[in-house]
Amino acid sequence: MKMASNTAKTGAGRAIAAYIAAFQSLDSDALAASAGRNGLVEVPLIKPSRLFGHSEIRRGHSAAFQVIIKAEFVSDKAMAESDDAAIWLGTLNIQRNTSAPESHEIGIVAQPGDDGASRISLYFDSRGIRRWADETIL
Amino acid sequence: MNAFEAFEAYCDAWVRHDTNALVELFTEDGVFTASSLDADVVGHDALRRELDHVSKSHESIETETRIAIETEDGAYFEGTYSAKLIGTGGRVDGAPIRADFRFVAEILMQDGKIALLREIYDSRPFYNDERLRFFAMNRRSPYWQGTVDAKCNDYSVYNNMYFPMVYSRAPYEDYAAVREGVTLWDVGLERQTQLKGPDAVKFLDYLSCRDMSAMEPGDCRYTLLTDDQGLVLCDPVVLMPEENVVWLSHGNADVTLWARGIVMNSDWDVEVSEPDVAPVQVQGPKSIHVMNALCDKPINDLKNYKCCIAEVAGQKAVISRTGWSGGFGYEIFPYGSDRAMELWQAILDAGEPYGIKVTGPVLHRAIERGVTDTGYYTASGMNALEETSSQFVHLDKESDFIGKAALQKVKDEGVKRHSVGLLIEGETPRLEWYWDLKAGSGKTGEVRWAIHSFELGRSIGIGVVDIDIAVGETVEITHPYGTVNAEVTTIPFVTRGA
Repeated sequence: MKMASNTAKTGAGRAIAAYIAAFQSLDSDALAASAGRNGLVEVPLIKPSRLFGHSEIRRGHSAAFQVIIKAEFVSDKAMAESDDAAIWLGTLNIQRNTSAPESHEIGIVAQPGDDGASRISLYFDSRGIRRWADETIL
Repeated sequence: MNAFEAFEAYCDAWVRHDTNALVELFTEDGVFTASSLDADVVGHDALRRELDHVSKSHESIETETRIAIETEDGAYFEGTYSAKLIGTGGRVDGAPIRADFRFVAEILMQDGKIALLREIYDSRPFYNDERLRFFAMNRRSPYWQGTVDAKCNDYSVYNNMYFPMVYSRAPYEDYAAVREGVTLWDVGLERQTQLKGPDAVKFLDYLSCRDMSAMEPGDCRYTLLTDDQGLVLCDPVVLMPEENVVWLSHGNADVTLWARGIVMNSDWDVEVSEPDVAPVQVQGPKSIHVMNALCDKPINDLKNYKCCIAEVAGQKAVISRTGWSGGFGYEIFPYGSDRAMELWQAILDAGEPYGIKVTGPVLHRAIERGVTDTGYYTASGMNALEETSSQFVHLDKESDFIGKAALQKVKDEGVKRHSVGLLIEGETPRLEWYWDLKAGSGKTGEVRWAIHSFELGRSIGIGVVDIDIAVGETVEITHPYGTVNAEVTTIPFVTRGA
C-alpha cells in the first residue's frame, strides 16, 4: 500500500500529501495550512461543502473531526502530477464515534497557488452516509 | 488510441448518445464502475445494457474535462458531467430535474482500448436528503420497511394507506426494468373485498357492469363497479381463488363498505369482509424465473388472468397472472401479513440474479399501454360508458346490476363524452390535478393522465372529452407550464410487444 507521502514532486502533490497527513492526524490547523490563504477546499458531507480560506477550512473540518475517531487514506497507486494539478485516488477508511468502520473510494484533486493550494477537492459518494456534523434544525 | 484520446471519445459518445461507440471503446472484458452504480459493469453486453439505460435517462448531455494527467498505464481526469433527466416532470417551480456532477476518473488502457474506467463522484445531491415525512393518520403497508430501505422518496395515499410511488432513480431505469427485467412493487394498499358464501358470484355479478356469472375457481376478471347513477366507483381485478370465495382487488375506493352496505338487511347469502391480504406485484419478462424460484410448484402454465393457490417462500398465497405494468407479470396475495417482510426479502433474494428493482407504479409504461386506475374514475363524475373499458359494460346481460338502468338511459340518450389519447406538444409537468382541455371555444374536456413516453419519445396523455372530438383533431391543453396543442389519438399508444 502506498500512502500519499512527501514523495510528491509538485506543489499540488505536496498539498494533497499535507492535506491527507493533517486529516489523518485530525489536525484542523495543519489541514487549513495545506491550502493557500484564500484557497478553496471542497468536501462532500461537510456543511457547507465549499470552504474558502483558512478560517472556514479550519472550522468546517474541526466540526467533522469531533465525530471521527480515526481516518486513514490508502492507495496502491502513485499520485498523478503535472505542473497544473495533482490527482490522488485511493480509499478512505474511517471510524466515526457514531457508526461502524466505513471504507469509501476517494479521489483528491489539487491545484497549486502562490501561497499553497488554490483548490483541494475531495470526491467520494456520500449518499447514504450520515453527515459528519449535523447542524441544528432551524 | 491513448488514454487521453479514449476519454475524449468516451465523452463525445455520451454527448451523441452513441452507446455502441461507447462500448467499442472498451476491451471485450472491459470494466466500468461509477459511484451511483450498484455493481461493476463487466463486458460488452453488460456495458451496452447499462450505458444504454443511462443514455436513455438523460438528454442535453454536456461534458467538460478540466484536468487530465497521464499515469503509468492510463490517465486520471477531473471534469463535469451535466444532463437533464428525462420523464421526471420537473420540479414544482418548473425547473428541470438534472443530473449534474463533478467527477474524478481513472482510465487503464490495454492494447489501445479501455480496460477499466472508474468514475468517483458524490451522488448525494441527486436525491432528497429525506423521504417524505408522515403523520399517523393513514395505515402503512406491511412491506413499509422494505420500501424505506429501497429509498422510496414519494408516497401518496390510497385506500387510507401510504402508497410508495417514486424511488431514488431516473424514471427510465424503472421503465427498462419492467420492460426488460423484473420489478417488485408494494401494492399492500390494493385491498381485497372478500365475498364469501353460496351467493358470492351472484352478488359479484350484481355489483359489476361486466357479466361475471361464469366465473369459476382459478379465474380472474377485470370489471367496472358503478353506483346507482352509473358513475364509476373503481375498476377492480376480481380473483376467485376457491369455490364460493371472490376477492375484488380494488383501487382507491371503499368497496368493502359499499358492498357491506348493500348486503345488510338483504337476502344475499354472502359475507363481505376485508381480509388481511396485502399483495405485491412481481412484473416484467423475467418475473417468471423469480416466481418459479419462490413457489412450491412451477407456474409456467398459469395463463393470463388466471390464479392458483401455492406456497410462496413458505407462505400460503394466491398467485395471479395479473398486474398493472401493461405487460407480463404476477401478483402474490399472501394469506396474512404477519410474515410480510420475510416474503419481501425472499422475493428480493430470488430476484437478485435477475437484477430485480423495487419500483412504484411505472406510469410511463402503463399509460403508453392505456392502463389507468381509479384516479381516472372514482368520484370524478364519469359514467362507465365514457371510459376506456366501456366494452365491459354489459347492458345486455340478463341479471340486473347496480347502475344498469342509469347506464341504459345514458346509452339511449347518447353518450356525451369519451376517453381519448393525446399526443401533447412539449414537455409536461407531473399531473397533480386534471388539466383543462379546449377545442374551439370553451372547456370541452380534461386531461386525466399525462406522462413522457419513452417508447414514442414525447409527452402523451389521456383525456375525457366531448363525444364529438374525434381522432386527428387538434385540441388545446392548459397545464402549469402553459397552454400547448395536442393531437387526439387512440388508446393504447403502443402495442404490448412493441
